[in-house]
Formats: sequence, C-alpha cells, structure tokens
Amino acid sequence: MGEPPSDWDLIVACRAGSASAWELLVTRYERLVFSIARTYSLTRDDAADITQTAFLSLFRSLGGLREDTRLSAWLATVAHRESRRVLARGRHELPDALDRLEERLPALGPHESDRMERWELAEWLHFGLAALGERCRRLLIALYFDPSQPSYEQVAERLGTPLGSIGPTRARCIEQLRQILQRRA
Amino acid sequence: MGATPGIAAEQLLDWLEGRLDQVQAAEVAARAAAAGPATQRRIRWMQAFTSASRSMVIEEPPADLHATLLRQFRPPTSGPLAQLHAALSFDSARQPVAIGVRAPAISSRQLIFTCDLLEVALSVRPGLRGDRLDVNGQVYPQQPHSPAGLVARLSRDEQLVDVVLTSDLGEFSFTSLPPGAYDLELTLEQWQVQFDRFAVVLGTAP
Repeated sequence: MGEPPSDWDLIVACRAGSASAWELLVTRYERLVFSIARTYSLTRDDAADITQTAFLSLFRSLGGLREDTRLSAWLATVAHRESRRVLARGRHELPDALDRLEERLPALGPHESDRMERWELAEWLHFGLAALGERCRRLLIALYFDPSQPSYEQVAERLGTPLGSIGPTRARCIEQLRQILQRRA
Repeated sequence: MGATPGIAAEQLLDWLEGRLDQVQAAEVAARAAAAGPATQRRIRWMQAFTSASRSMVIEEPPADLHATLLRQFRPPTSGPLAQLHAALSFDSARQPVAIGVRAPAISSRQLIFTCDLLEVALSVRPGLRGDRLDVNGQVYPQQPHSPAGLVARLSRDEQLVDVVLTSDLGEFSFTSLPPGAYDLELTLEQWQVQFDRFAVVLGTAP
C-alpha cells in the first residue's frame, strides 16, 4: 500500500476541484476537531457547529494556504479558539483539568523534555489511534476517552467482546499505540 | 506487550489505573521502582497516557456531520488568489494633541487599513484579563462585494493565532491577545488581502 497523500497534496487537489480530496481531508481531521470542542465540555451539538465552522474556514482559506502550513495545527487552532468563544458566550467555566493537562504532556511526546501543546497531544494521539486496527482503536477510545466512562462490562457489551479479554487486549493495544507513536517521533 | 520481569503488562496498567488492592499495589510499586531505565520510560509513558486520557476526549462525530462537511465543498471557479495589500491609513494613537492639553487616558485604539478592494476598521481594547487585549474589526468592501463570511486570519511571528469568519455585517473579533506585533489577512472571493503589520500593546499606545 502506498503512502497516503500529504495534506498539501490534498489541498492542491481541492484547489483543482477534487471533491474526493476534500472528503479525505474531512475524514482525516473531523474527529480531531470535534474532539477538541468536546474537550471543553461543550455539547455534541456545539461541537458539531464548531467543526462546521472550522472546515468552512478551511475551505475558504484553501487558496491562501502555503505548503508549509501544518493543517492539523491550523484546524486545532480554529477549534480551540472557537470553543473558547462559545464558552465565553455561554459563560461556562473552563474545565480546570485542561489547565493541569499541560503538566502531564511532555512524557507522551517524541522528546520527554519538550513542551507539547494541548493540540499537539490531541493530534499525536489521533494519529496513533488512526494507525491502530479498528478493534484496538475502538477499545482504547471506549476505555480511555469516552466521556461517559463506561465500565468494562459496558465496553465488552458494546464491542461484542468477552469481558475477560478486555484487560489483556487493552494492554496489547496500548503497547501497539506506544510503538506507533515512538516510530513517528 | 513486553512485560517487565515480574510485572505483567496488564498488572502494570491495573496498578496505574488504581484497580489493585493495597497489598498488590504496594508490591507492583516496589517492583516498578526497582526496574531498569527502559522499563521506567515505558512506565512513565503509560502514566502520561492514562493521566492525559482523563482530561482528553476523543469522540466520533455524529454520523450526519460528515455529510454536512462534504457539502461545504464547491469546486473553485477562479484560479489562484490575487494578492492585495491594505495599508494603515489611520491610527488614533498617532494623532497630535494640542500643546497645553493633557492627553486623555487611552482606553482604546482605532486603526483603519485601506486598499482598492476594501477598508477595515480595527478597535483595540483591553481584554477581560489585565494583560491581554481584544481586537474587534469590521470589513467594508467596495460594492458589489459582500462583507459576510470572509475569512480573517491573524498571525504572529508567522504562527497562526486565530481564524474567524466575518458576520453578515463584516464584523469579526480576536480576543485575549497577548501584546505583540500581528499580521492580518483577509480572503475575499478571489483576493487575498494582507495588511500592514500592527502592534497591540498594553495601554494601547504604539
């Protein structure tokens, strides 16, 4: 299987009118943008609106993007800023957990001493999860990133997996994720 | 997962996630403390992952959102964007004050940028945080162009700070900006307008 097209390849193709290139960009980043908005404890409806705004901004900016544009950072910036605007309008409190998160970020990054911005962590993890097989990805998202924090029993039922296999599979999938991210570093 | 001698990977995760009883947890903690550097790095990674996951949400968007995002795409009708430059034509902070008149305390600063295609007015004001500033803008394009839905991009040191779409009236805002020099770009149809770099400083004086 060849390398997937780069973001720049897709941007150029979109400029040339390729709807399939646009679909690849959407598929590549919609989960990241949506999840960033949800990290602010916004509703799924608000997060969907923010995702639409982010991609509409991207579409209208296609002609001005440069080859060195980091599209994940571009979209993450829009998602973060728009989420904060929605929070400000709704007078919601910024979740304290977000502020404490940065203290824990460096150890996950390519170099433990590097400061990693929140959006970089999200993009980093999204890349790793996307590279996992579907079974591992669904399991880790359910166990570690689902805001409803389902129990092992609920996860087993949701995924159609024997309860006793959740623990061992979890460990195996996390190690796969760690190796994927280390290779990317 | 390659197990630390004496510590199964699953047991390690259970320890980090608080699923072990006190006796088991103490035993695993002791073995982890005695482990070699490679294992210590692996443990730190797993600690960071489990800790970060508590503060991060990764969710699948609603199924209908994907189709909505796809519908945003329209094949372009023109070629590459034409570049325009909007120059600073007015800055309230640089207006002369009559001799003998005490200058008023500056609470906001008005900037106007002009080019053939449009005019943009910016208002720089102190933000909610004492060390930050808000920039509110409005785009006035030449007829027959509409000010609605334009992309306004703010950068600093070539790093993207924010991207917003203008309202139906061409209004936009960038909030909670740290003091510094900023670059603004607007995309209007087949034009990309770049603005003179402007500085926002506390006290709004240049």
